[in-house]
Amino acid sequence: MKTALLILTLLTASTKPARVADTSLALPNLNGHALTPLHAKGKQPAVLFFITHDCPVANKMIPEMRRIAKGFSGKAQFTLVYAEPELHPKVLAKHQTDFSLAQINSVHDRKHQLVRAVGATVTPEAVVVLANGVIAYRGRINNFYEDFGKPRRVVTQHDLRDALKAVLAGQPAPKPRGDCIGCFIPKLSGYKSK
Amino acid sequence: MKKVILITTLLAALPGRAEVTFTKDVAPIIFNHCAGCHRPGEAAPFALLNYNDVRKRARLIVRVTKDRVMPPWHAEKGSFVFHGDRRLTEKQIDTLAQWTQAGAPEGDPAKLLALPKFTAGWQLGKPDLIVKMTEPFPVPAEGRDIYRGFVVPLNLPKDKWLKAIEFRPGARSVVHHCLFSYDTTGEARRMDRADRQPGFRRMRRQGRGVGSLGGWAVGGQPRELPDDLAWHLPKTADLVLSIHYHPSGKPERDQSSIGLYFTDQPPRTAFAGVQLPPAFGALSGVDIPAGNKAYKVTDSFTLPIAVEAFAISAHAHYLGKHLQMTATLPTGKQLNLLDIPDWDFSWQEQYQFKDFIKLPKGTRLDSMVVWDNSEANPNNPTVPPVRVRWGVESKDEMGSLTLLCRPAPGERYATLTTAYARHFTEVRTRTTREMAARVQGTNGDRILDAFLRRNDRNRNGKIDLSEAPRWLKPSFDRADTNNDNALDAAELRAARDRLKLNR
Ligand code: HEC
Repeated sequence: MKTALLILTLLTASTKPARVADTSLALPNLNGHALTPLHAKGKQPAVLFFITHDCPVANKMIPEMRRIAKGFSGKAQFTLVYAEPELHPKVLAKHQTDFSLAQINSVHDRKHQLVRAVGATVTPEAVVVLANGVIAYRGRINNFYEDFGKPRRVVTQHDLRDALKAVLAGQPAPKPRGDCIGCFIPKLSGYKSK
Repeated sequence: MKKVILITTLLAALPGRAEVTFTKDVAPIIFNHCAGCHRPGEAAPFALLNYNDVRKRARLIVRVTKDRVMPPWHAEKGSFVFHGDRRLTEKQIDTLAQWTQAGAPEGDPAKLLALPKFTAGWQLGKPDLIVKMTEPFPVPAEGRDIYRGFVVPLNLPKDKWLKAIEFRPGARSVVHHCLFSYDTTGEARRMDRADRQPGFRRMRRQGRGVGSLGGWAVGGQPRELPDDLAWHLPKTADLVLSIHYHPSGKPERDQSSIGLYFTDQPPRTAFAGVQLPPAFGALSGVDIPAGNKAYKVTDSFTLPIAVEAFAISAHAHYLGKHLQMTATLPTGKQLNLLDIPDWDFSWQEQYQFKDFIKLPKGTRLDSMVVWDNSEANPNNPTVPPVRVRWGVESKDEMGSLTLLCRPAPGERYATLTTAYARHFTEVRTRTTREMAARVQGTNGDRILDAFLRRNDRNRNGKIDLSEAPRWLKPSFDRADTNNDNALDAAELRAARDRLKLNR
């Protein structure tokens, strides 16, 4: 009886299945080489950072994105995703130089394939995808911004780092402790075709 | 269901419920209230100059205008109108929301109004003197915001009357605000020489030989002092800049330029800054316990003459929360001069009234500064919070409001400054008394010893003159009965007991 209850509880708890992304999705990096941003080698999780080149909140957090990518290198795969279809390649290249991004794989998500695959809505948003495609974490990087126009002088909650540590330890990732503040990613129809 | 849709469609098509479009409704708001900063070469991170710029950020624009984060403006609506007030009306905010909800339609592009004409280069015309920071200052990609002083020698041939200062940031994405002052004491130069990096950390000196010349904040328009007013700039003055930098995510180098505008016409009268509490709160015994959400200091001053006020500013560091000054007329009528309910250190503006404000003799000015030293305050530079006292470093606190005013016609300037000097002394005496009262009672000696230990930085068992907190300095000599330029425990106790008797 007890076991049956337990199973029932487990079943009801998991009625909302975790979102699963198609990890085979391939996109060219900035040099034209194909990447699979959602599929890392071995059992490593894949991490995406969604940014837009002129979002002040995203730009201020790039140094932290670089640090996280460096700190977890060899344990997870990191990709920086420009979520702006109309971004000119020259502007993108300048952004890469200005913010010293040579060390991190970057892709230009012109058709919002990645945006849709993982349901990203804001920049800078971080997404952690497990080897089986399960989206383990989606949300803010930390609590630098808890509200618009009010950056914290001292960051006290490192949501993405905590999620990554949990995932690497085989644990479920804790949910972000606050909203992801930044610039909304407009739907593709929100862009005027040129 | 179909019926409902039909009805809504019909309603929407009814005349009088005209569609909100970019061309007709949104462009006038964006062009007049946002484009000034949101255009290439200005401080904001992206342009808002055409339909596409605005449409793709429509949702974000609705959010930041509803939250009143944009356009940046921190003063609540008060009794008087300020120059350059950037606040949107509720109706404008609503229009932006309605437009976004309707799918951000463009309307007829042929009817788009022209962008306002933005003056290139110096906004006030060619300055009489252009100076520049002597060397570029490197701003790192990230980290704490930086507060830095720079000295710029002016080498004036003679004393000058200064009408306006125009500031042109070198690296716009990181320069957030700049306060101007002058220094004839050479202190700024000495500090600059003593610091290996360009510039220096902070000017300590206030008072004689040093004076404020206003300031600039992102998006701020330079403005001349009204009427015939002018600052007196002594020939030996160096210009001192206190610049507040915000790292942007990428390294920058800033070398800002400054234009000075002079006049040969001396003003009919000098003007004064009535600062409440005085000395940026140095005499008010500011001592904010860790975690305290609302630590308050107030001050009042009654005008001994009729004045004409023309500007007001507020100053606090990171923990400042609510700063306010009101004027109560002799009739009892209360006026709200400046009210900043959600202080942000990053937006220190100089608020200039559109017209001179006449305040009759006997008007009481009340100022209030509230600090929030809790962890919930995102601006708190120390987490978990620690006890914070008055000081010049950015982790210390200051707090005051300053009303700039000139004597009304027929009134004497000296009457105002004399009364203010008396007020200055009164505040100091009151604080000293309160401090003494606090260290009375059974715990008195213990508190006094703790006070000694805390301030005795060189650990010689005494408080040397250089170690004495500011409020103690004026009574230092009297307390130093053995004249060794230091206060030992016995001298401190004796001084306390004397004060107790005086109460
Ligand atoms: C006084 C200059 C100024 C004006 C006027 C101004 N902005 Fe801004 N805006 C800025 C600056 C500076 C930033 C970057 C803030 C940062 O770096 O955190 C910004 C950022 C933004 C952002 C990005 C979100 C954020 O808070 O970082 C949006 C959206 C925005 N502004 C919209 C507007 C709109 C809409 C208006 C007019 C209704 C407007 N702004 C008027 C200076 C201005």
